[in-house]
Amino acid sequence: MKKKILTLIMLSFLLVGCGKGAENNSDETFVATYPADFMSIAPLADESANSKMVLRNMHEGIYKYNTDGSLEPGVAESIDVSKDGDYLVFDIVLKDGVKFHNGKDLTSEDVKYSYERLAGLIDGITPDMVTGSGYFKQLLNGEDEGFKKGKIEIIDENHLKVYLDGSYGTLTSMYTLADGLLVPAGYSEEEQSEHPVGVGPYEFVEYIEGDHISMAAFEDYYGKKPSVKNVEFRKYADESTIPIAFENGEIDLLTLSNENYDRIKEEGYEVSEGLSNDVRVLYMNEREGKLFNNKDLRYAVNYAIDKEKLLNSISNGRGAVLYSHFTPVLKDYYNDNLKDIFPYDTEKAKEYLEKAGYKDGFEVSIKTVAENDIEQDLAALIIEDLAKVGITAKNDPIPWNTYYEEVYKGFNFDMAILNVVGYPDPSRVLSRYESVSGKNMPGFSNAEYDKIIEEARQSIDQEEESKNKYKELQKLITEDAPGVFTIDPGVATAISKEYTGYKNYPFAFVDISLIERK
Amino acid sequence: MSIFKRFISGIFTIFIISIVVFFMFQIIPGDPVLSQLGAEGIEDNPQLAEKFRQEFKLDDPVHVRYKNWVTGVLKGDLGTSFKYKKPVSELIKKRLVPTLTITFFAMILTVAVSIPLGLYISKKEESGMGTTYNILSQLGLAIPSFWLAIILMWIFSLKLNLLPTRSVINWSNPVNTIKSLIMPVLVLSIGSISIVIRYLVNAVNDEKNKDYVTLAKSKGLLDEQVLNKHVFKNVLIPIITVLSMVLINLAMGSIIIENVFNIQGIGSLLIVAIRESDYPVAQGVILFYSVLVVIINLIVDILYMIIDPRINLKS
Repeated sequence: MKKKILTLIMLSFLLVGCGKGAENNSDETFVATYPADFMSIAPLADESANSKMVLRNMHEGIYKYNTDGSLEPGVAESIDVSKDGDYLVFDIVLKDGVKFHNGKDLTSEDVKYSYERLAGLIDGITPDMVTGSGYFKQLLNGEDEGFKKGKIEIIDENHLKVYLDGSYGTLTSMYTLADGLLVPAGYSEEEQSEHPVGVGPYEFVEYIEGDHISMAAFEDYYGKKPSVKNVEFRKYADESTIPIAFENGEIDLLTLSNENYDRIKEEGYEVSEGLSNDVRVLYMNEREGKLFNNKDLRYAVNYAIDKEKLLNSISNGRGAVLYSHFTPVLKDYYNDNLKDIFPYDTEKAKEYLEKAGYKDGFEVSIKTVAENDIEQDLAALIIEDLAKVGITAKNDPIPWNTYYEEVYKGFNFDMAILNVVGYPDPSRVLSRYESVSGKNMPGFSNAEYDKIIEEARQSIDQEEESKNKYKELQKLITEDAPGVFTIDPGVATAISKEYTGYKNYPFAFVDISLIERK
Repeated sequence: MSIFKRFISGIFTIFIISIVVFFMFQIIPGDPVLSQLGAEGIEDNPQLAEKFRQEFKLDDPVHVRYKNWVTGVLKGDLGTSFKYKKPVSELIKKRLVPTLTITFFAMILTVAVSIPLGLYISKKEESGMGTTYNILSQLGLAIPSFWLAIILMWIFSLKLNLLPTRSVINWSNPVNTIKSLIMPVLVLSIGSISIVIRYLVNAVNDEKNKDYVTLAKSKGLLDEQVLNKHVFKNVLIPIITVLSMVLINLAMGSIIIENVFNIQGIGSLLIVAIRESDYPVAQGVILFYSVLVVIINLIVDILYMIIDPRINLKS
């Protein structure tokens, strides 16, 4: 009898095992992952990249992003930008028949509400409830910070004019509007945090905190209907298990690392490669009284570093070598003619060392963020290169919090490595090198630069002329050499075999609507 | 010591822990505002950063903040999470079930395997079992749990495709929940099983050399009878001690295991809280664990008294 029972129990275990196995994706749900819980799922309540990359699938602003980070009018029929005194005026005509997920039509009223929600103009919605509001507060409601108070004028149901303070300039204002996700007027924050509603290609289905968030293709989406009908983003707290889950068929999207890139590719998975738009830079503090106040010395360092080698060692040659504080991914604004300013040339480096008065080299320490592995590897490689021209550098890794206080804010360093996260907005990327910018870590200061960036900001049309201004800015940075702009190690993402068409964006966005089921 | 005194000393312990925990997080580097808003965020929106500091009273002197925290805790308020902006007690309550579930099953598995096996081995020690068990239990103790977890995943998820890599504990779906529990419980128990077996075998060996065993044998009892009737009764007390330690061990061990298997328990809450400088949550969870340990120890003391009246808690 006992044996029979035992056999039965064992059999039942076997049966359980044979069942659906490890939750294989036989149904047509596309599964992606995210690493940590969201503070909230209400649109823009959580500013972290972690939440943005997931939640953007449900929302759009009046502009829609292309995969290269450029903008096109999405829900808007037309957007005309003009100047009116100190204001930038966005004249917006909405498309007909754009619907929110709750069935409501998108009207000018909703656009107005969406912007006021982010600018702190709605009672009961404080800025800390919408931390992802970007510059809305400054552009629309920044009187206390010295900005002009903006206004929104409704002309009719589909037509409105938005007056923004002009000081951030055209591009940054456009990108701010692009990130001003549209929500139905009056739909409360509490409702948004339970059941977010937007105009994006996917609508909310379910969120189990700490486990997953699921979405379904929105039937009434105004644009191209997505091919993938059901999506689930699952939380995987431990990165090391994700590749196993991918090969086990539990998830459909995997960000590749150097360790598994070759193998996954050999196994025939489709791999999408792109740039992260982040800039890894070795800053040299050029402030008065600092070692690198000497321009020849900064040149010497720039000639001494073999960036190709960095790229090959750090990311097996994937990604891109950089020549200024700008990645090629923002291709319309990228200056392609800076490659030859600092070729790898140890002889030139030694020449400039001598010119700078350091013929016999010198000693310097490179401050790095201890938690960041790539920066640690970069530091080791850079030290090797510097040694070849007689500069004795040593790595001084410090925790991010200390680095932030001492180096990022305190400017107490000679050399420091930093990973600067990029924006799709070129104007915002380059604004950190203005002499007045608080983010200007190396202390770069150039009157011409300040003048050109202001002109670029104020130009309304974003045609050749203003694009050339942004290119000119990149050149000014390179020529001053406030640092060595090293590499963008890139991103590579594999997709499971039933799907195709995934592309990386130069910012945090896992866009499911691009994916097609084979 | 009377139970009352034990109780008081338990409370004193918790008080000391509260001081250590609180000040520990003041000393280690980590600015919650920086963690929550990021360097660029603070730069772009200094007003928000300021508001954050005010809201959580981060600029008060340390002793004032400690006093506020302790007064809150006494009233049952563990503070508010920086990240989730929700009460810490609510977060802990929500995560309690998964942690308790895996701890409970791991404890059951540990007891069910280690006690019979330990007793069996102690009987057969002379027959060469000793060496085998020694090697195996050393192995069980030495293998890091997260490594074992990955190996099991590789075998059962990737190669055999039987179990999910990611555990979902939700009893409305019992089949999935059971499948989800198998690997974490197994990984969690292996170390404990080794500990209990080793401890048990040693305890039995110690008892075997005692006078009453010699006496019983000289009375003509068989080895088997001596063990069953006398020795095993006497090893109960050390077993309870080691089991209480094991229980605490399991609860702590789940911190790592939860992360590997993505279980939404208290352990994973703690890891994220420490990583993101969410001090109220980290302090709350650690305090919760300390209270748990103190309570377990108190229960063990009471159990001693019930099992062995010679241990007089009053003396």
